[in-house]
Amino acid sequence: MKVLLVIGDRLGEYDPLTVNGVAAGLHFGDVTVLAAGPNSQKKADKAAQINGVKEVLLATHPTLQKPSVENLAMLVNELTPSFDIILAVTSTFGSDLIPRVAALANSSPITGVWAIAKDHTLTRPINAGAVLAQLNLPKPPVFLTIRPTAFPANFISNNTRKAKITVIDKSYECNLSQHKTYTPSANVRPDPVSAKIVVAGGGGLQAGGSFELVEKLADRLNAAVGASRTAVDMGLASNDLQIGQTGRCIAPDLYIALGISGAIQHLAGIKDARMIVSINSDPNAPLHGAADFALTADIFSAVPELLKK
Amino acid sequence: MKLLVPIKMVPNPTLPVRMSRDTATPQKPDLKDIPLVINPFDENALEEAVLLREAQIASNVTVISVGPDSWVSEMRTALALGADKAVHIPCDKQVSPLTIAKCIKQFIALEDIQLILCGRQGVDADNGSVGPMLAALLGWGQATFVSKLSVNGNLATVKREVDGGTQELTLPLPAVITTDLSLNTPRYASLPNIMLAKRKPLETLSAQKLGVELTHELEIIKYQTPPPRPPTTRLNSVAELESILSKKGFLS
Ligand SMILES: Cc1cc2nc3c(=O)[nH]c(=O)nc-3n(C[C@H](O)[C@H](O)[C@H](O)COP(=O)(O)OP(=O)(O)OC[C@H]3O[C@@H](n4cnc5c(N)ncnc54)[C@H](O)[C@@H]3O)c2cc1C
Repeated sequence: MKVLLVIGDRLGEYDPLTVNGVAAGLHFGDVTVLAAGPNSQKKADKAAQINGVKEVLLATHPTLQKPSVENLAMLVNELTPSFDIILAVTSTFGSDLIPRVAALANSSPITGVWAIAKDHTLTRPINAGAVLAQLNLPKPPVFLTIRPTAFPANFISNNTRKAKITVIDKSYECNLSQHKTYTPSANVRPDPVSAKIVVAGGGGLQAGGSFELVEKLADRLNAAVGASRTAVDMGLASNDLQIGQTGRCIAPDLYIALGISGAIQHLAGIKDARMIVSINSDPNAPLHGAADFALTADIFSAVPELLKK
Repeated sequence: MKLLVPIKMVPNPTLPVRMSRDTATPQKPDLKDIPLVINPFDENALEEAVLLREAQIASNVTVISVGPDSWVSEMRTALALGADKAVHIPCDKQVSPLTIAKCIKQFIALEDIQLILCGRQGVDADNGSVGPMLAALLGWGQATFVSKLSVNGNLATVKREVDGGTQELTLPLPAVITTDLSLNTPRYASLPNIMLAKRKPLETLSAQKLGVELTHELEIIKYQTPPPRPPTTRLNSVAELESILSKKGFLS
């Protein structure tokens, strides 16, 4: 089967989760990558180095150099007949693009794919991860977004290799949405989705009035920062750090939750973490039940004590 | 300006979903004891639409649902929350996002809608597809994950919550917008408004009349419970935690 992976656009830059998209695509066959949007040449060069990428399509026309989901969908729609699987990572970029492209081809997308079996049966979580639903792969063309954390790709980059880059210089202009600006979030630490260690804070941080405690522990462990919805709502953390069903799904080697109760919507985002540690003053917090290691303690004394070590 | 808010009902997301214990049939999520509520993101979409009408930017807010008859009472709730009219397209089985988008598209052909506000995803199936699909079928612009919206004449200016930060963009109307939880705080239905809602129009329109076949291309073949996590080890002190983190190489 032939796979087209559309590279994500992360605030106008190459999305490092592209490698996970390639890893998922390789379950079906050869992967061709499409680079568009700002910095598409840079994106194409990076993608060309990924093992398993057969060819890179580089969109160079000004109408595709700006972020425009409508223009890009028009191009992908034109490429669709040459492929069996049209794929993107389940990011805000992929979730915006893939359903639009699917509808243009009179098809429904399958989003948030969590596993691809040998026979190409697809599995995706529903009901906040309480249930896994299995679907047969529909007839091509198939439109998918895949959960990056479910398709690890540490083997995949290779600096010496370079796939063929083919330029597409045609114009695609819908005159619909017009990009104005990107504003990066205040987070200066690694992205929680690709981080090996994530320290997250929840409603329990309210008494401190800031996320300092979480940030200090994160810095001590070289970790990314994450947050529960409540912490985001309280203004303690930025929206893009929200972990959970309606935030980001993560799979670090270590996840430490400080003052997070463990609502099902939050747990949905950490189910794939390899080790979970919960520090919470409530011995019955649901997150304690989901954790590998639970410490019933006040975070405002436990975390400073841990930092002293 | 007329606004349309497609809404769906979902099992109350604060209650746990379990698999049926009935062993005769293949396992399925057991939803029969979980009350239905309006999908939380759709409440944000409806709230924003009602705010636009209250600011006299919009003249009329219609909600539309493609779903079973059991959804009708919650459609009344949407009227109590401020919608002017509700349209129910009865549908007893699971249908695909494409089918739902087609039904809504056909409805739009009958009405002069300028802006569609959708929730960014249904919190039961987590597809997040109908909004962008609808935009594609209509040939309209789209903005997903919107946390701020202003409408000025024929132009919407939005802020989107995207990975790594936010994006600002403008959209010529008509357009489709999907809403993030942070867009607004939905109101509660007041008693007088609940009474008032009983007299608001709630129309039924058949998919057949709209010329749409109710199909599902993405049939689920099997439901499973996720693999259980290993049992929890309770720690008695920070020192114990420190020793575990050190032993596993996380703390040096
Ligand atoms: C449609 C929908 C989608 C949602 N999506 C998400 C999502 O994606 N992600 C998400 O996280 N939530 C989501 N939520 C919200 C979710 O249901 C919970 O409300 C939220 O996760 C609770 O966050 P919390 O545990 O940090 O806060 P709280 O529920 O306020 O819990 C605070 C915890 O901190 C503990 N605590 C307090 N003080 C201390 C202290 N000094 N020391 C130690 N512990 C302390 C308390 O014991 C408690 O367990 C969603 C909800 C809905 C309805």
